[in-house]
Amino acid sequence: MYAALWKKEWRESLPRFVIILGLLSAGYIGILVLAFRGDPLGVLIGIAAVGLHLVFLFLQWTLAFHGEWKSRTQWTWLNIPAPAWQLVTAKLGVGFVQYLLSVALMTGVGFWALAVYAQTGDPMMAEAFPLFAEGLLALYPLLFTMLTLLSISLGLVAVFILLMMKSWLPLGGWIGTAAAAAAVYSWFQFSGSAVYASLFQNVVLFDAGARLELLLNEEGVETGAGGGLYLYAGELTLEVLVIAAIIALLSWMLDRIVQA
Amino acid sequence: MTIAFNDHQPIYQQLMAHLSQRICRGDLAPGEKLPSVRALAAEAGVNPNTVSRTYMELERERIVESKRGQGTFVTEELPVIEELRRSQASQQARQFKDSMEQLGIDQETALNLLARAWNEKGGPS
Amino acid sequence: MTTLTLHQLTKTYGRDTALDAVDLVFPASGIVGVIGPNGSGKSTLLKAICGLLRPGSGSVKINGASAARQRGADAAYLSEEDSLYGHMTIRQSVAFAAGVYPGFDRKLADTLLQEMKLESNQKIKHLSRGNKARVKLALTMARKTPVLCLDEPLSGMDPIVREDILRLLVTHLDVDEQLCLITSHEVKELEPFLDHVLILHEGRVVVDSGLDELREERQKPLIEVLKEVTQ
Repeated sequence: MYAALWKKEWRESLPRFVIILGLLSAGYIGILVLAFRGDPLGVLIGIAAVGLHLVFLFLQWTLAFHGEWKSRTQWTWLNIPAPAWQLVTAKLGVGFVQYLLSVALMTGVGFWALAVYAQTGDPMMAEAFPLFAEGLLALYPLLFTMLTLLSISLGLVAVFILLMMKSWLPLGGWIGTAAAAAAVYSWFQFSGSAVYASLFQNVVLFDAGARLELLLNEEGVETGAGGGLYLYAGELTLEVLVIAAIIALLSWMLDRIVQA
Repeated sequence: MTIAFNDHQPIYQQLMAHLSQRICRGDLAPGEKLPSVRALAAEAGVNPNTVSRTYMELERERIVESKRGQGTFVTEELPVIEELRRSQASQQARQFKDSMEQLGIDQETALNLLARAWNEKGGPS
Repeated sequence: MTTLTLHQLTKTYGRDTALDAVDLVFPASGIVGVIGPNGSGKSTLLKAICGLLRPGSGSVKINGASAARQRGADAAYLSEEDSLYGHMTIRQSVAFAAGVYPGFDRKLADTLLQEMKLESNQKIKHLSRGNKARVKLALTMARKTPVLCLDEPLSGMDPIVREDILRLLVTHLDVDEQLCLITSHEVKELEPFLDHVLILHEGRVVVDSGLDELREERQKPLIEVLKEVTQ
């Protein structure tokens, strides 16, 4: 049953994925062309591509859920006797796999473009870009984790609001938005607290500051900065658990309060 | 088969009348297998339970006989069919008489009309 | 055989009451017509039975357990709308249905679709309205659920399609085991196919009767009874 749902979601989201990839590919070609010309404007497009990945899951997930209602297939979808977590995670999972594929492509193109910039002959670029590339590589695990967590959070909040809209007309969307805003606000309050730090900011998986310092020292650059950016196992575990809880909440909503 | 059902009588009764008529006419011969419940339901455009009930009622009147696992068959007892024919005929005759009376036509005229109709059509239709 | 019961089922949309404290015990099997004027609560009733709407209050029980969205193996809902996935071909739709509905009778689905003489590589979205309705019903029938809720299966169809749909239903529904609820405005056409009829009016059940009994009692067609009780 689960496999059939994944297959259906994959097929259904593929046209959207192709459009997003097409858009990104146009950008990537632009970046590479600019890189060969040594025009630093390409970096801006690169930043835009990262920005698009920030909303990638937001787009794919909301369109996947909204699509059922838009195409009037919610009658079929909700009548499928699968547990709600399967209905929900098939949609989320397919979108996430596409996100990973797209990020992999972006990463490949990004490092390639940086290499091209370094070889344009411009002495300043020849010096700056390898450093940039190495820094990026050193920080990659942190950057990837942050981008992914942000993208997931945005996507889940949007799906939550969407399902609230489907649960209570006409105010469900507003109530959902208010609830989501309150939840995000309290999350930031909590994650800045001392309790949070002592509970979850332990077991360092990745020390971005140290990596950066090491790298810059190798290059002979003096830095005063030390530490500050860490990836904690405790924090990551908590975040994964929170994501799982939100998915459980969405599944519960689908069974109990969402109306076709 | 298309059956024009009337609006006021239960459908199973109308279906009974229809099948009885066909049996009397010999459309459905003695011993012949009747269509399955589903087939007749689809054909006549009625509920399968209605057909089941029709067959049950016909069986109660011994006009049809259901053989377990084989289906429903027209009875092979000719006297039963003969009696059915007679009862249907006398019912029709009564109806004819009623309509003639309603039109204010007396017995003699009615019989003359009947004789003339018979000659025109050259036998029962 | 199924026990389907409603207890004080109420559903409101804003200030409109779609169902008003409905108490009902459905027949264990057979075809039940749910008729009534627009807005009488027919569709709401079917959706509530399939757990696709949240009841305001009261309950729907199928074999003793509350109706719910995930009970699609017990109660199938056929929407009036084009609720099949348009991007799938007919063959893919069958494969999908076989994948997600436990007990899906693939052989029956294939037979029905073959009878319709449709090209199985055709996409659902390219089918005519009538063919979409036929495929939709075939897939729903093949789910073999104890309860089937057909919401306006005849609406907007031409006479040939309507006849086909009703024929498909009586040929393949197991009237001794399955309970099929049909809403429709085509009362005249539907009448000969019914075992039982519910007439809804302003969210209440005003007639709940076997069809033969109703005829013997009132000696008039259903449409006349409907007019009488909904005035």
